[in-house]
Amino acid sequence: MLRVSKLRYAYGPAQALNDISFAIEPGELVVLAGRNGAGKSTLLRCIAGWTRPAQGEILISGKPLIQNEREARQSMMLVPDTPVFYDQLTAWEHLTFIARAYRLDGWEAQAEQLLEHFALSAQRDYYPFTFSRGMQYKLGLTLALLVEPALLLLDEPFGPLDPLSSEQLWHDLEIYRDAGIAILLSCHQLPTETPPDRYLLMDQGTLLGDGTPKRLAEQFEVRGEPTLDRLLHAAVMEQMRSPFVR
Amino acid sequence: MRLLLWLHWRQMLRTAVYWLRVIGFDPLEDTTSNKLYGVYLVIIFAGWFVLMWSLIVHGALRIGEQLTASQLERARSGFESGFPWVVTGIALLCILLALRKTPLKLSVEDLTYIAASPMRREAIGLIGFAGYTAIGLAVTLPLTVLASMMLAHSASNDEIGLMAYPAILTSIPLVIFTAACAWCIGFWRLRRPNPSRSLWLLPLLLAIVAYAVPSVMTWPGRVLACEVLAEPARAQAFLLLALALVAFAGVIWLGRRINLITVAAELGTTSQLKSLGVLGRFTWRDLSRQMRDRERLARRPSRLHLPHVSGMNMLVARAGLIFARQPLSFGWAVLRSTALIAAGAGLALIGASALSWLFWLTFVMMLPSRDILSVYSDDQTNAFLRQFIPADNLTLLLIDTSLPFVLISLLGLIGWSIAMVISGTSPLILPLMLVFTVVMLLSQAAALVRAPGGDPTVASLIFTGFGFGIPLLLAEFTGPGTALLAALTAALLLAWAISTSSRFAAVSMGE
Repeated sequence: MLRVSKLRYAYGPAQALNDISFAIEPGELVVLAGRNGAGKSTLLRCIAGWTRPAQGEILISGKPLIQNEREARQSMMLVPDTPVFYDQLTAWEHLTFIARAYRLDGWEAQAEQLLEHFALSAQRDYYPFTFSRGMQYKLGLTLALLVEPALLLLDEPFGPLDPLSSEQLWHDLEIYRDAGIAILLSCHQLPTETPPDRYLLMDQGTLLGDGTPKRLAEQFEVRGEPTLDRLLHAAVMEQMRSPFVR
Repeated sequence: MRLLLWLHWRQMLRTAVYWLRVIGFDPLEDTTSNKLYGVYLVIIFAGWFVLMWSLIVHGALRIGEQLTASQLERARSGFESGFPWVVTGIALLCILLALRKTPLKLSVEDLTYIAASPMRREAIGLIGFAGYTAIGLAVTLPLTVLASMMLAHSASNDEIGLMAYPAILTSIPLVIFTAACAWCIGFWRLRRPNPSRSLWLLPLLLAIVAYAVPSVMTWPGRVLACEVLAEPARAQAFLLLALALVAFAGVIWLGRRINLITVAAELGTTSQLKSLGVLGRFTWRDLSRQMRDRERLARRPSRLHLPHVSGMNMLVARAGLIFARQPLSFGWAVLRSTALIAAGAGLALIGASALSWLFWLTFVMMLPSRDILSVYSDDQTNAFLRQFIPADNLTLLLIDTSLPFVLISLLGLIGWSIAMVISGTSPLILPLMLVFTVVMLLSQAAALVRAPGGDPTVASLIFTGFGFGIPLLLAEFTGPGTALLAALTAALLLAWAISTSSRFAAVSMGE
């Protein structure tokens, strides 16, 4: 579904992404984890085509993103940490506009179901700028899920959500994963103890580890339960011990 | 009270520091050179102020002296009959503004302080009222002096310096009375958690009373008019002073009864605007407008709805709905763009001088009508929503600007029809206007998607200069027909620049 090869990106002299390579298959739930400033959001934006990488290649369904941008956009959606909406359209009008622009069939029932699921039904006729940050994120998710993307990218989805909504979202993501959607999300903490299929561990623009929790635990010699905190801590510590890191 | 005054004083100082730094003087810098520069500035500004005021006063006196007896009589009679109505109009406007929103325009700092302090409520009102009245006096007093000097033609030079004093002394209670009446009504509205909407009818009612009984409603203005015209009405002036004191007492009395929750609820936008800083309204114009638009939208249920269409038609309908829900800014943008384009097409048609062209082009380059592209701009800068729109940059431009294009064309057609009936204007102006509209839209859009370094301001100057500069140059030397062809070519080139813009450049990280 998604293949990233030797991706590089820099903000001026600061290298934000450094030779990042990985792949995600349909029906995989992958968590991108790293410290603040690791380059997670930049990586997601490059994959979504919001930012042009300096070097490297991104393949969506086997086709280069840069040459098949319009086609690729229709099969993937990125929900940023703070989605922004039109000031003059209500929540329901956003859904109507996107569903009808895409000529989706039977979208109304699905849209109502999604709003109900994310507890936004009562606010459907309100303007999104009156929403809290968590509600805005839920509306962003609703819009993204309405078009049923094959690849769903989520930037810090649990940050603005309350614990109950975070847990519910994690279960929802597992259901979407089982339905064949490839999901890549960035986060610092998981809302449940159920691990994802794979972790991508990043620090200072470099991919430190890519694998299942068990495999990463072996790679970084983590004892006990391979939680996200322990894996990330071990990966970062190992990188700091590396003689190539100043 | 003392603490609140100190708070306001600190805010004033902060504002003063900002302005002083703008002119290169930092009051917080304790160096000899800085102090010397401060002294230099004081001397320069004092000299400039005295010089300017002397020139203005001298000018007013000269105007007065040059009026013939009949002209002076006409001016005095016009002033006597018109000025009281002006005062009444200003008073009604002050009441209207005080009713529209709480006259207590507090900042975030004030709100925070007031919420946490046990201070008396009338103190808040008094401080605000003092500031409001001071601004009113700062505007009124110089104008009163100038009017007195212009219309007191008959006085000898020795008396001239003294003759404005009665008018000044009368204008002080007039300003206090006018401001206090407005604030009393504003405070009256704020007594309850849910202010009565029926009070909105009050200015209308007062206007009707003024029309029906002008002698009563225009009386305060007439008192000042008499003093300005050196026709003393001392008893009436004292009555005005007494009424001003009563109205001021009303401000204090009603100030004790205001509901601060209502004040705070109404101050959200004002506080946000004040937090933008001294020049916030100008430098952050888009942001301050967004705040006001959001407040307006949030206040009432949504009007108009998306029609049952799909595909590209839905994109057009969405753009139309967004424009329709900001009618004032959109209407103004369309009118302004039409006027600019009509002026440009008119200049091309009459073969105007190069200097006229230069003025027009400079104006279009420096102050382009970006608001007619507001939907396109939102689509291009909001990457999250842009990913949902199944259209390339050029198609999206056609969709997002179809409504302003149609409206500008219609207005142009109406304007041309009128001009043709009156002065037989050539129909060539219509294609010129259409092409100029397209060039304007394309140059602004190209600036958005092709901005070097992501800053559309400089790009806008370049693309507007290119889009209009060459056609205007050709119009100057060869005529309007060539200008039309050149503008069409420029439009095609700009369209090409938009359609071939980097696919990724269209969206930025500026969420």
